Amino acid sequence: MGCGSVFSPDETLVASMPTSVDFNFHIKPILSDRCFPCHGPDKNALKAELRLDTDEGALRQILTSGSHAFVSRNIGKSEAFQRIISVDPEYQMPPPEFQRRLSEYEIALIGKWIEQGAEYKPHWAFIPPQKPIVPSVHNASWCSNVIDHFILKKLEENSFTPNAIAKKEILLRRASLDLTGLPPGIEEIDDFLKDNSPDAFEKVIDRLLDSPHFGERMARPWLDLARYADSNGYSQDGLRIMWPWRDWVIKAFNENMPYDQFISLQVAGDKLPGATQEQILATGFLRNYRQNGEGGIVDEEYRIEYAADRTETSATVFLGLTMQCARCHDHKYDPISQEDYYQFFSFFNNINERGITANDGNSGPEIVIKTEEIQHKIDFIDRQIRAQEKRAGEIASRTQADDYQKLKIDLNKDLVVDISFDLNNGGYFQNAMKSNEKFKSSGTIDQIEGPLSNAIKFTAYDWININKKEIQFDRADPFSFSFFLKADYDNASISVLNHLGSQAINYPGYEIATVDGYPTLTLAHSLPAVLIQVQGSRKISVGKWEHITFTYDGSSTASGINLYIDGRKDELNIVFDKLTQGISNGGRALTVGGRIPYSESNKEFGFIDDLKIYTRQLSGIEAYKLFNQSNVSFEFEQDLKKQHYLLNNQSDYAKISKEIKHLRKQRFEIEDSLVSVMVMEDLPQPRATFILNRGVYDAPGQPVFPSTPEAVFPFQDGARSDRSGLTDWLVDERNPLTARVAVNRFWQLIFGQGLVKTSEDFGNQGALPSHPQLLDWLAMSFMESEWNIKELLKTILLSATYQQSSTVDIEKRAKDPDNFLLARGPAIRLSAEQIRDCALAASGLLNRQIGGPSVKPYQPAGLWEEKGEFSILKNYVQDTGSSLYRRSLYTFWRRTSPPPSLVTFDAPTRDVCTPTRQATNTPLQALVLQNDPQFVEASRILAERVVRLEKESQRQIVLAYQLLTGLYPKLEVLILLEDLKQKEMAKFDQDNEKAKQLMSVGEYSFDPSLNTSEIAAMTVVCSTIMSFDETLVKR
Amino acid sequence: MSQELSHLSRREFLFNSSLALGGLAFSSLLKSSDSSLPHFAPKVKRMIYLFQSGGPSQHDLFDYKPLLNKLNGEELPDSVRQGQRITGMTSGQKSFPLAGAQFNFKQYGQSGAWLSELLPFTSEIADELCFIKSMHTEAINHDPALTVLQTGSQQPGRPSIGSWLSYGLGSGDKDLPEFSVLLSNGTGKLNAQPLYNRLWGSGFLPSVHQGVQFRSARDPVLYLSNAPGIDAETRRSMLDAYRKIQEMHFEDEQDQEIQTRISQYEMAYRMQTSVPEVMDVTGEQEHIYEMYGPESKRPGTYAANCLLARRLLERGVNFIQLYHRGWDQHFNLPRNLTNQCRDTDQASAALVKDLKQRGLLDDTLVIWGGEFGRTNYSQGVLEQGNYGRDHHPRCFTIWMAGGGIKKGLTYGVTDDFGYNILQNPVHVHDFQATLMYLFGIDHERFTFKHQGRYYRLTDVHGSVLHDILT
Repeated sequence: MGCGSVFSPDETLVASMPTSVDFNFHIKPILSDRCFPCHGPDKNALKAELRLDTDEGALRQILTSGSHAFVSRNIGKSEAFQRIISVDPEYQMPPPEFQRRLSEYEIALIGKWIEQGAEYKPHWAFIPPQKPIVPSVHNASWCSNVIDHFILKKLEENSFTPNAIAKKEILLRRASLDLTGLPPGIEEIDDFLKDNSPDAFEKVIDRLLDSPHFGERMARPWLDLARYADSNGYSQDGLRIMWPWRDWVIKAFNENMPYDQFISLQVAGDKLPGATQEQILATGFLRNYRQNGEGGIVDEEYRIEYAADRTETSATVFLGLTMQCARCHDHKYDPISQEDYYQFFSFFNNINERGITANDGNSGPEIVIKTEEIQHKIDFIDRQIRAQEKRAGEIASRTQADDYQKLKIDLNKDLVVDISFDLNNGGYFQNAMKSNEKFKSSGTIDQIEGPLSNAIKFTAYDWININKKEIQFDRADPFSFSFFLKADYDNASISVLNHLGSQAINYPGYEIATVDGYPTLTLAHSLPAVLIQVQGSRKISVGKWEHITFTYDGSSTASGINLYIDGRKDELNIVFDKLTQGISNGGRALTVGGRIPYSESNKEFGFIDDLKIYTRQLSGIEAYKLFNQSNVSFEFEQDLKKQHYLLNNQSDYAKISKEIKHLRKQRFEIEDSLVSVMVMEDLPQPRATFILNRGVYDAPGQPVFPSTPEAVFPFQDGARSDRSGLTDWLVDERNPLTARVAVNRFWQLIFGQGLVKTSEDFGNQGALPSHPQLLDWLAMSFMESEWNIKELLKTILLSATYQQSSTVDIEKRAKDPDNFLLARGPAIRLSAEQIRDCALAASGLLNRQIGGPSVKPYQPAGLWEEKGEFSILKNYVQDTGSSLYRRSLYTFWRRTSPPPSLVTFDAPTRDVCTPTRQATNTPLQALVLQNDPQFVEASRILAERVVRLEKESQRQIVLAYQLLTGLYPKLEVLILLEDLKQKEMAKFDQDNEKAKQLMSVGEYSFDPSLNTSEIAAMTVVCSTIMSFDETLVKR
Repeated sequence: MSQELSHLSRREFLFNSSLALGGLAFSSLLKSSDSSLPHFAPKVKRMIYLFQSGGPSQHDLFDYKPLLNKLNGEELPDSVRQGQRITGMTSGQKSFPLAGAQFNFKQYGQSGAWLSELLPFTSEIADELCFIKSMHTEAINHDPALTVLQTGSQQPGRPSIGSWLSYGLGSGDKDLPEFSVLLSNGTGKLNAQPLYNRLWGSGFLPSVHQGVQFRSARDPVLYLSNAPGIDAETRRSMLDAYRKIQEMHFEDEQDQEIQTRISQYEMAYRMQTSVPEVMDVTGEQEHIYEMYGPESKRPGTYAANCLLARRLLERGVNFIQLYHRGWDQHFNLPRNLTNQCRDTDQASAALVKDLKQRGLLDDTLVIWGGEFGRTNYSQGVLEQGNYGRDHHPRCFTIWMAGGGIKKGLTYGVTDDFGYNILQNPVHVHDFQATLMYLFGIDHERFTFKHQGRYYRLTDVHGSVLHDILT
């Protein structure tokens, strides 16, 4: 029977196998890929009740055949092994239809592992890192710092020698690109070449880390991860404003905010006690997902989609976990159950947002961004308002009972709409305040007997349109609404008076409704989160006419609202009190009846009579008088009289009120002009979260509560079960993933690939670390340094590993094509943004302004127009002047039609979190560099620049070459470029029209003092250099 | 137990003998699935997908339902709707009046396919086509429905059909892009639903496989034309200097990427000739224009794009996708659908005929269809001579033609209300599996590993519709 002796694979195969086979590094990747889908963590997909991801299942569980999957040191008795090597389709594993047979090498590895004892180990990434002992190496003199010991150790093990140090110019360009994304200037090159001190390079690093462009450089990959964009994605793909969040990221990097704080604020800055504007703004990270404004989508379906995006993006960015795989079923490879997914999801499921959002604009919780200067202005106005209020208070306290014993009541004052509903004149209803004003109805308006002669019935389909300028109230305008209302059934939700704008603009406006029977007034900038909403203390009575008056003082606060039912003041329940911006909606008509626009319900109806709308705040006495219109005299309470007197009969008080209104208007105008950004803000009561069967929004299963995947690191007892608790867990030093994932990503930034190549997946399907001990050393040092990003980068850049030349001959390259062992320096094609920024920087066109609204540089005509026309982004309106030359980080990012030349160089669409970019090499890239006006113009301006600076032709070429590549050209190169220039100059001299045409590309005007054909020829040379490997690749 | 043991020993025997051959037996079994493409003999080499964006009304074009005319204006019975979710655009309607097509239907060709009077040219080629009347999808809104049909998932992020094909079958050494995309806008609807780059995007596949848009603008391919003042001669001089310098640089760096880039620059240069050549339709004969219709002379129209698609195909572009907007007739359907058909009917039929007469149809797949169907009830008020239809995911009609497809077949049956499928339902993933099959690809084996998971066009679903294949 089976024994090890018959296991005799090919000799070369044996030679290439590791001496000691490790479960984590050699065996699990194979088992995970081929076996775990049916014999792994997913309980529902489990076949033959056999799990191979645990030693319990693999080594101890007795199979139906009586044997074990793996038996230590016995391949013959290891049934799993026997099945793997089988060619019998009925016995073979994986089953033939699964199409995942193991290679001979993989089989041999498993065989060897069994022979060595078949030892299982926990997944490497879930074991907390320990600071490893720095390995000793033979050639210790090569090492600049600890990093090099780990790298060299492995090189020596594999009989590699490190490469020589890179040339100074190369090194300077490499570091400049890595830390600022921009090439070095001539002066910087000269300074560095001249500086022979031993710490010359360190000085360069320090200078670059201090540059304000450092934050921009670091922000770019973070924006990819955060799926940052300037449009909403999905169908209409309208405008959104998130750029202040982008600027927060730049600033945080520039200030070297510790990484733990950097991520904690982005996850839960809003949860800090007394959170500042900046701290709340940071949470914009979780609001960058796409939002859908397509008419008719199912609201909950997309709300769930948004919470899922927050969940999955967070898992990828902070933990390197592919949690999305556990949305519909248990993870097939990693120990993350579907329950784990929804527990994690529940942290992100509490914000007050809707699935159906606006075509254009932000949705859900927002914060208005105020600069310090603006805040001072607002504070100044607020002080004046308080002073006026104090004066008003003094008047009130001075007022004596004698003053208001004789009240003047004028119920026609500021009454602009007065409809009795007594006559239905062919679908028209008369406004008693204006003889020629009638309001048209839609549908069928039935009349019934009301408390005062006739009343009407309204429904979701049968309404009256009151189109009137005076009632287009904004939040500074006081108003009052008064009417009789009746509902025939319990818990009625009826839109009685509806002035909310459409879904496409997020429902700004006002509305009086009954919501589950409660009389409700809403003043909304946008639903469902930026609004005031108040409700009466009790439901309206069923089947009985009741009189309702809502009054509002124009203060933009819930306390400025009063409700009177049957003339008696009701206590208000404040649902929302957060109206931070205006409520105007472009002049929608007020409707009596009609559908509650944001509700699925449409079967409701109600009855109304005697509608009166005032452009002032009514007093309690007036509210009573409107209810009880008989002339029976009634003795009102003193405070009601006083209120009426002050509101209507006291001239000083009226003056002050007018002054306050004026000041409020000033304040609101400032606020309304400010941008606001989508941020996180939890509902007062957490929303219940359920496991969603198959991940579908309308298939809730068992309820779950916030928690984190147990297998990674348990959620601590007593931790707050909200996002702030989550951040504590994330940055807990015992969390095995956060620091590793972070340092790996910074390593990727510099070397083009991480020590774990799959920086987005630290799970079983991810790559194993090339240098596991180095990864742990970096992770531990990072935490010990209090998550100091600049220090980490400095350590990496100061290593001899980093400073190696990237140049190797073909043979050496072939031995390690992916530079896995790092026996040479990194060589990476620049990112799309860097390519454009370098061209702008070399030419001197670059506008170095940091931050601000996104800009629209050159783009071929018609790209937006040919795709759709629903959004205000219908037409691409190109910017002009210096905005054309901002860094590409600030280029307007429209997801369904992203900047074409950037996308050609592999920039992502930013639909979803993108942890790594590709670096392709395509003919379309050639066309961009040759013909995109941005690059043609940059070539021309660079040509002008060098011609202005240098007299001699060759020196001009040298300068252009240096500005683009950071290098001094070889003589042969110089000669070839000079030849090109001379040839083209002769041609342009003959055909000067062509030269002029070339000079006309781009907005930047041509310097007429220069020679057209000379500049044209030099432009040709610069354009040619722009496509060089030396320009496009960081070496 | 003894049976088990003997089983095991037989394995043992096989194991020993195969290993004794030095592993050769293994290696031949373990060929990776990607390098094994195609998995079996392909029926077609090329595809032209005429995507009708917005959701063409099957009731008014293909799926003839006299019962709806009989019951015109009556309420949609709950027994038919079966509580199915409908879009927020009509869920608020008071009533759902059934709306019969206000167009005449007739049977055409030997096959007797039913077609409406709006499609006179398609009627002429009815015997070439295979109509699938039982397509269905889960999505009820444009964005998710378009995205699932083009990428296999309702949520963005996956590669499009064309990108998968380019990735799997493309040779990558042509003077024209492997996967080309042409857009046009119909006259059937103002403010038609938008299109998105991601519909032809490569998702997580290498970005070289994304669709390249051919436009009717000055630059048919973005940035194709030389900058003003740079003529072909200057460009050549630049490229010559570029090549010499970069070859020297390659000697120093020994990095293959440098040589790749040199050849990509040469390819770009060739594209500057090959693309205008394909766009330049002046060489087309008058009777060809007549076939495709008067609009075919107007660049950027659907008809011109159909003609252009044929020209691209002839020049080696294997995966071509047209997108025509404007099929979203929520209101004023009779007038707008008539316009929409006038835009498309003649040229769609002409393309099939033209491919056939050139002998290209036999190994080309032509697909005509949108992302979902439309409701059998009227959106808004049903009036004499006017109605509209909302989105309907439960059934819709597409047609396919060309290599491997049964001609003159009508596949799948819907109920008399045109609401539910009675026979042979075809899910989006089945359609995709079949499409892949025609190219010799097993949709379950053709995968790409991304973020730890093997993704495929058909997600985890789909079966090949052998019934419609020859």
